[in-house]
Amino acid sequence: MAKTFSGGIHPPECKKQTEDKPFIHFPISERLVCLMSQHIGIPAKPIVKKDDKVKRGQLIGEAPGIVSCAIHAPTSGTVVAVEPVVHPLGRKMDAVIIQPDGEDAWLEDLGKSRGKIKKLTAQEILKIIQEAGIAGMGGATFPSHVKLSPPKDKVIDTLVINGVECEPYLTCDHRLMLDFAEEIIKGTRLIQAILGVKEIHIGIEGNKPDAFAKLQEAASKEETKDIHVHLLKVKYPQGAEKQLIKAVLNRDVPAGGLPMDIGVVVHNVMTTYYIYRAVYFQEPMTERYLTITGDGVENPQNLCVRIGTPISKILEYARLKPGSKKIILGGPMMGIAQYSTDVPVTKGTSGILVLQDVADMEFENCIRCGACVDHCPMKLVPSELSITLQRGRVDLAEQYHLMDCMECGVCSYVCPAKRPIVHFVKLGKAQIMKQRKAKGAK
Amino acid sequence: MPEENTTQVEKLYTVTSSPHIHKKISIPWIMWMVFICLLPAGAVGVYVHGAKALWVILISIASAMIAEYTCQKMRGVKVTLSDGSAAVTGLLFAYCISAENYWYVVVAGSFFAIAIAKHAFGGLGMNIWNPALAGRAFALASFGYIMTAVWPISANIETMSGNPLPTSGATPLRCLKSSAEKSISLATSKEAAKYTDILGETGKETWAKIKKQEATHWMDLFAGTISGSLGETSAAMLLLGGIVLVCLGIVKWYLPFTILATTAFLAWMLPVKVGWYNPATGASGMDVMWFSGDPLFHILAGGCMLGAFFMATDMVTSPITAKGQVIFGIGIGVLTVIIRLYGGYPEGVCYSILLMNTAVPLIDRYTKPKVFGGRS
Repeated sequence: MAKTFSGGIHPPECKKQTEDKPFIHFPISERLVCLMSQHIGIPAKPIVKKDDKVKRGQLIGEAPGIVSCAIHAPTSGTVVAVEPVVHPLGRKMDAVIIQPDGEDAWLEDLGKSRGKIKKLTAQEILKIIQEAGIAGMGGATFPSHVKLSPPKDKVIDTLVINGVECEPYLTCDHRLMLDFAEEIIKGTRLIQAILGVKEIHIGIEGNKPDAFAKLQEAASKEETKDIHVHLLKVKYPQGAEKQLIKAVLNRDVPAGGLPMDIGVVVHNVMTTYYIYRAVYFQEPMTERYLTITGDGVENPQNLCVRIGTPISKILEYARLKPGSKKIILGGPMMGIAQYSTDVPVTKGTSGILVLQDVADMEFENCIRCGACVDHCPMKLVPSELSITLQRGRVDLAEQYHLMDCMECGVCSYVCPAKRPIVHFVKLGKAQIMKQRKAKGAK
Repeated sequence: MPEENTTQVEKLYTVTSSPHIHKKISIPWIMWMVFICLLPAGAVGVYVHGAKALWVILISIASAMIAEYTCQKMRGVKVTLSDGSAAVTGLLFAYCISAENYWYVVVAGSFFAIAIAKHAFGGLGMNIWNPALAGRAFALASFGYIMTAVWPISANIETMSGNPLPTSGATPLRCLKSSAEKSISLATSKEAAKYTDILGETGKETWAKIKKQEATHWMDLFAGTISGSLGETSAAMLLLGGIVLVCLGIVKWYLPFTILATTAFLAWMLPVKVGWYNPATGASGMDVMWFSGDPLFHILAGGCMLGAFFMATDMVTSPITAKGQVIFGIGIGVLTVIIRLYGGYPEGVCYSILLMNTAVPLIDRYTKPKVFGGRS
């Protein structure tokens, strides 16, 4: 029996259309929109103004705190505006808009091999990662340097690398593991140097046996045999940190806690790869790999795209079919639907999914079938949450562990009454955060 | 240019919260699957009881659907006749009453099931009791005679065992219960000697005689060639429908299993009182028989199969977790056997399910799953 966690679902994978397609480098658009908020935490502060000339990799947004990320120019060119634009989350947020000059010139030594990697201390590597502005690229976009600096009282003994890619449709992590297995292993060594962990585990789902083989081969070439590659049962949401740790290590992260509470740090394969690039090639985050797919495009692909590329350009390239109804950034289970194609690619854009059909928005009363309870990976009672939240009883929902929900969408997926449970949960959580803020202000 | 871009937005795309894909399952699919799985048992009912059974089924479904339509119109909510839930309630109500019935009993019971037991509580998903069983309880309280004493006599049907159908029309459960009671009164009467065909020389012997006479037509109980409620007679067809529901994932196997297992075990274990008479000595008395019931008879007879697979498993009125469903199933089994052996009615499935329905919120409260990574 392949390792896994309890609960979860196995939706149609829909990965066939892109899993065999190698990456294509997407041309630099004539306009790059660099949002100052591409991560969880405080938005970066723009430090350039209109008409400034910038080079690729140049700092254009400064991180004002620890839980924040620096933003860099994705190519060389001229700043044409610093203004609020539509963010993938719906609101308008500050962005630096760059008109490329076509030269794509790196700033000074950036992009060149660093050399003397072995001599770098843990603190130096951490500083490089922080300055490169790397945020978790699986979609959550938590600043990587924060994850890599656990408080002194937490002893971290294990590193888990997330190569699960459990969201249907997406294949960019899969392709990345095939193309850059050795680089990913080098990246894990850098993280190991910072955290001082003894064991490294890499989790990959059973539908990517080729990636599993590549990484196992790369791991076996290493002198020390402390990297374990696991082929896991195909099940959503195995890529969620707590579920991945359960599947690979059979350890339970305490409710309301973080993986570091049980001595584990999890990083996505693509984050690991970009940590490698930042340290070995002095590259800040200027690009990322993503999948454009869905039944709404004629030419689904895996692409390497500059950050800030408007998704309208990518949709044009992938030949958006007329009559497509939904454009989603991320996967179909947790991705965010967009009303406009003006939004740019950010550090967290793992995919662009175009769907031709939209599910019926009407929903019924809960018939207490229990499917959501059977499948909830967090062992909640989603039916109860949705009923109490529908009635506006946020206080009661909080008692029913509302804040432990990770919004994976499993409950809504299996619901025969088509109840928008995740929607209720998101609203309820926002309300609680508001109340807490108000309490804190007093 | 920014100005150009804002004017270029010709079309806005649909925005909803995630997830953006859904499993192909819906309430109408569930309800109509239950409906289809119920049909074979009804077909046997119509074969055994004749055309009047078909009328009872049709009247019951029609009343339920009319009640659903009326209530939804009155409440000003969406009319959902096509989701099949009213049709299933109507069909289930018809199945748990006698085919020999007055049309107005059928109409009243079916109407009560939908209007009072379901819509007065807020419609589908909000009801506390299984609507069909609440309708049956209502009919039993209101029309006691027709609901308990009149059973169709279908002498023209050949039974599987070759034994004739009881001409009184009484159901097997009633026969068993009344025979045991009768043996006590006979044994203690002065004319005990006249009834050696019923009374044995010991309690054990009497019990064996009773069981042989009244309760061993397993094949008939299985096939449905017995007298009883319209759709409850054929254990085989109910089992078939129930297994299909389990395979479709609509019913979890452990709920019917715990009901049937608990019923069988307790029916075998719990004591029955029987009278005896010894013609040689002229002595008579009463014995308490432990561990001697007929488990197979009890799960095949009466409403046990229908209740276990189609009534107790009603999603709305059963607990939401596996643990809760097991507790719920054991409760139903216990109450069923207690009512059957010691209660005022020969059959107890209906009331035991209704009683356990009432306990569902309590069961749910104490069987909540432990949050992932939670301490208690």
